[in-house]
Amino acid sequence: MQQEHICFEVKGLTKVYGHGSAEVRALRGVDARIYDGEIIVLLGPSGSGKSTLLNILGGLDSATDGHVLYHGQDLTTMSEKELTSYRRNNIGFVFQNYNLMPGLTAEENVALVTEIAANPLSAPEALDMVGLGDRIRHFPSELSGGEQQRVAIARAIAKRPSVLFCDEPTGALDSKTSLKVLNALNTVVEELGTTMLMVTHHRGIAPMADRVLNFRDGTIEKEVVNEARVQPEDIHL
Amino acid sequence: MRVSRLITLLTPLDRKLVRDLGRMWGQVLAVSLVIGCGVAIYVMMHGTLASLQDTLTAYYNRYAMADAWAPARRAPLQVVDHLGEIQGVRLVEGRISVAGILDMPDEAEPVRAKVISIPDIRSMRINRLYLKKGRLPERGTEEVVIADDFAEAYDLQIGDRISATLYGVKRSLKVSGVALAPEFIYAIAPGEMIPDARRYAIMWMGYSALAHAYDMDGAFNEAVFLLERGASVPDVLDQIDLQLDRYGGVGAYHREDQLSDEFLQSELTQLRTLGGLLPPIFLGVAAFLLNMVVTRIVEQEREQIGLIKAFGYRPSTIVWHYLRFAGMIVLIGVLGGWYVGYRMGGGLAAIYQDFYKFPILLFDPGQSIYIRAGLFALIAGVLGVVLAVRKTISLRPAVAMAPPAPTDYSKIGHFASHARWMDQGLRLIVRHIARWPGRSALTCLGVSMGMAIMIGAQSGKDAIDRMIDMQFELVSREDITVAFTEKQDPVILNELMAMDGVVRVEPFLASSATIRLGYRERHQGITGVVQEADLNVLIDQFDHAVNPAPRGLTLSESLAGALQANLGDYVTVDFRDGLRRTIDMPVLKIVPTYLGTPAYMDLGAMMDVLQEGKRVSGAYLMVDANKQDQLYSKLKEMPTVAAVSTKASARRSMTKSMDETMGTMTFFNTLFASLIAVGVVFSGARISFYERRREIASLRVLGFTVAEVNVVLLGELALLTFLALPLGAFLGYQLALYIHANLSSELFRVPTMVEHDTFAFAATVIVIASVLSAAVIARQVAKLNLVEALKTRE
Ligand SMILES: Nc1ncnc2c1ncn2[C@@H]1O[C@H](COP(=O)(O)OP(=O)(O)OP(=O)(O)O)[C@@H](O)[C@H]1O
Ligand SMILES: [Mg+2]
Repeated sequence: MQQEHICFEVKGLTKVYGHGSAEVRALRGVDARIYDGEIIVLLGPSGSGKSTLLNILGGLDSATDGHVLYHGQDLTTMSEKELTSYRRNNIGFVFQNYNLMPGLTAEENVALVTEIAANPLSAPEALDMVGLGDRIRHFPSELSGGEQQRVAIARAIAKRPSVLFCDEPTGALDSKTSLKVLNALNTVVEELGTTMLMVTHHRGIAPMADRVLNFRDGTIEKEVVNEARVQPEDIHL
Repeated sequence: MRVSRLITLLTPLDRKLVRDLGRMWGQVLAVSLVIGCGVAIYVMMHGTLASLQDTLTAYYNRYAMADAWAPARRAPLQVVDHLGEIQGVRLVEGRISVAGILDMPDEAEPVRAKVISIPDIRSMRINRLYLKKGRLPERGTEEVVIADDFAEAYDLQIGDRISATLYGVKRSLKVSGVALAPEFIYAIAPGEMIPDARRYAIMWMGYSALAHAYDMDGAFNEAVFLLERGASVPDVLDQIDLQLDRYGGVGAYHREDQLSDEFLQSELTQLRTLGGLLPPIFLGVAAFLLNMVVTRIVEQEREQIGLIKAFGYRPSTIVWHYLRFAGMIVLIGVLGGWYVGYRMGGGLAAIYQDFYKFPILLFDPGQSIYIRAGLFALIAGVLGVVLAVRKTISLRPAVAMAPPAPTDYSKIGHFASHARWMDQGLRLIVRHIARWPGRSALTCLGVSMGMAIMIGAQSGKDAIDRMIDMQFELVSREDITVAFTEKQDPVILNELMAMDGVVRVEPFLASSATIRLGYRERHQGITGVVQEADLNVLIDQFDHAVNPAPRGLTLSESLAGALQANLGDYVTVDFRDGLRRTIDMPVLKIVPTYLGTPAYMDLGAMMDVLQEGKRVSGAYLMVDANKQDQLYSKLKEMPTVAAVSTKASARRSMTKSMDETMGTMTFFNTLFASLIAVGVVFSGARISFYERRREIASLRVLGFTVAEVNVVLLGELALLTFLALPLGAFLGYQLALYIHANLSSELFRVPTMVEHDTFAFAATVIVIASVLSAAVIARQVAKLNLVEALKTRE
């Protein structure tokens, strides 16, 4: 593959929390290359460093050592301001616990992002994509967990991000609802051609991805390349 | 390391306590600061007042402040022995007390002097002098001991000479010493309302020299008394009056009616009122703030509380936990407050002692003041916590532990949904306020209370300033007051009018008198004034000029109050001048006054009553400002003129005196009030940041810049602050009303007045505090660890 199609180039990425006896090495020299438009699933035991990697790639946390190049630009040397604009222009996040603004309706939560993005989808459009076109006037407290998560997805993709990070997006949901959420994710990623990195504990989700990275003790222990992505409908959780 | 070792020794709840204190040190300190200010101001005020009172008592005792004074015209010295035989009199001294005029080199106005004799041989036993410098006058010489403030006002040294006119004869007096006297802590010239050391001097001269100068050999004209403990004061005074009547006694009076003491007591009462009013209010604000902080912490921890209850902890254990949390905050505040209050109280007491010129200084607030301050703070703290915890503690564990459901905003409907012009940020602000109306209202109320106490603290001085303005602009409109040595025929008015620079002349007639109604009596001068006066004007409650009743008496409200006299009541008046008649007179008018307790009559009616023919005691003058100085010199030369006083200098010294007493206290009160206001604003901002950390982190993750997040978070603060300003102004005004109602005393009627500047100052402090808090919060937003904030649950 060619240089310009590389989305992330991760080299020797290390993250150490605390120091002295309280030191925790969350990442121990991770090397990886992620291409534009790929769907990557990160698997691994609890505490192996998946979230840490995601947070650093997403510009939420800083690395202790090593480099992360996003389309050739080094995130590890960026200022807080540059990281903010990096997140603002390129990145979408979906977390396990939705993180919606309780004070805004579904539509307004999405609008929160469309107002600051350069070339966004409209809020109703984004909500349509996740199958919530009819719930746009509801407050988060009036939506189920799965619906809230889909609003969070709509909010994440409304700015047409080039990368979407999902940290256990279905972690709090039952399998039926999980499938709905995965479907929503898949739809938008396919439609927008977004690169997606998803952390999950469900091995069953792995076939959705182009590649699966297995984490252990802060490094990538194993990489599995799938021949073809499987649609969420065909997944068994 | 050591800290963590220590922590392992504690129970889990103790550890939570220690960590909570560490985690929330910003709020903890802000609340402690507010409590500390309340405690400090309590200790400072009450400590200062207690010390002033103790010092005064000690001063009076040590220097034998008289219990009673009895002026007369001239009595032979043998009468002193008779006076000593009156039952209830412990000690009596006869002395000469006379008026003189001094010609001070760099003072255009003539300076009035009161010269008092001191025994030639034995030492003084009543109203003893505290000799600061030099020595007592040598027998038979024209040496004088002068009052300290007079010495200071003219920078007079031992050995300096003062040129004086005593009994019409020019003399050169030599300063042999400088002294303080308990009876002249406030030296107020007759007819004046305030002390002015540049224009009124107290001095002491040896008896033989003074008697010689005033032709009083073998006689005295004033007796001073120490009374037996438990003596019946009115009876003793009656006996004294009876004895002195044939020697021209003008009425004996008790210490309560002695001008210096009365003035001092009234000022101490004012300080006590201010000192008594504000600390409880300050502590109340502190309790409120503590309640607000604890309520919100508890609300955030309801899940944890549910969990702890589920484990089987008793509710009382949990209440106790929060009580200890608040207890720590209170403890920090109380300790700090004690220390600061003690230090500042000592400083403040020293300022007052210096102002009042007490020769001794006692500063010991006494343990009870500390204990009371601490107790008040503790009660405030406990109250704050119990109210805060009550609701959450009664929740069932399951409810308290229910998932952190997103705050239900649907209750407020789609409020603000249709306002298309609103962006999501503004919507978040408005909805957040609307969703938590109670919390927003409390924040708003807290800030307004902070503002209100600043206004309240400052308003006492505003009112006094206003009182001075009213007195000198509405009532005393004259430029100069001239008092004659003896009553004069009114033709002298033409003479005054003919002087260069005199624009208008208005005569008055004055007589000292005792006014009685039932068993109440007051020694009070009565002034005869003209109808349609332009210079010294009576006013009604709307500050409009009114005339004195053509017959009968016109009383000031304050005097009518003291005598409990109503319109139409007949009072008995003993005139001490002229034919010394005793007459029953009706009270026909009652007028408000700002200063003093005056009584008035119509000038003509008073002439008729005194039966001395047409006579006037003095005149008010309006003069051409450019010619004022020349006029002084000329007036000084006139043999018939005893005293000249100008309104400008009277006003200046009154303002100065008020600035030094009320001003000092106001300064400290305002300082503490401002600190409290800052504390309230800061904790409000801080806690709302704390509550919304997660929401802020989410916004930041979505790519909002720090500035954009701040708009949402601080926009709310700004909006609430903005709403708090008018509310604070309103509450402050109410507080001022309350304070003013309590500040009025017999000597002063305090009008309600809050200067625009006071409002502006309070509003400015609030705005600055908000801006600074906003800056601190903005920094925390920038530093917020997004990953951590998102991990913690809402
Ligand atoms: N703020 C922190 N301070 C100290 N250690 C941390 C911190 N955040 C994470 N760690 C540690 O870093 C390691 C990696 O954490 P990370 O959250 O990346 O794990 P994970 O793979 O996402 O686990 P899980 O599947 O449970 O979410 C863990 O050992 C964790 O204890
Ligand atoms: Mg994780």
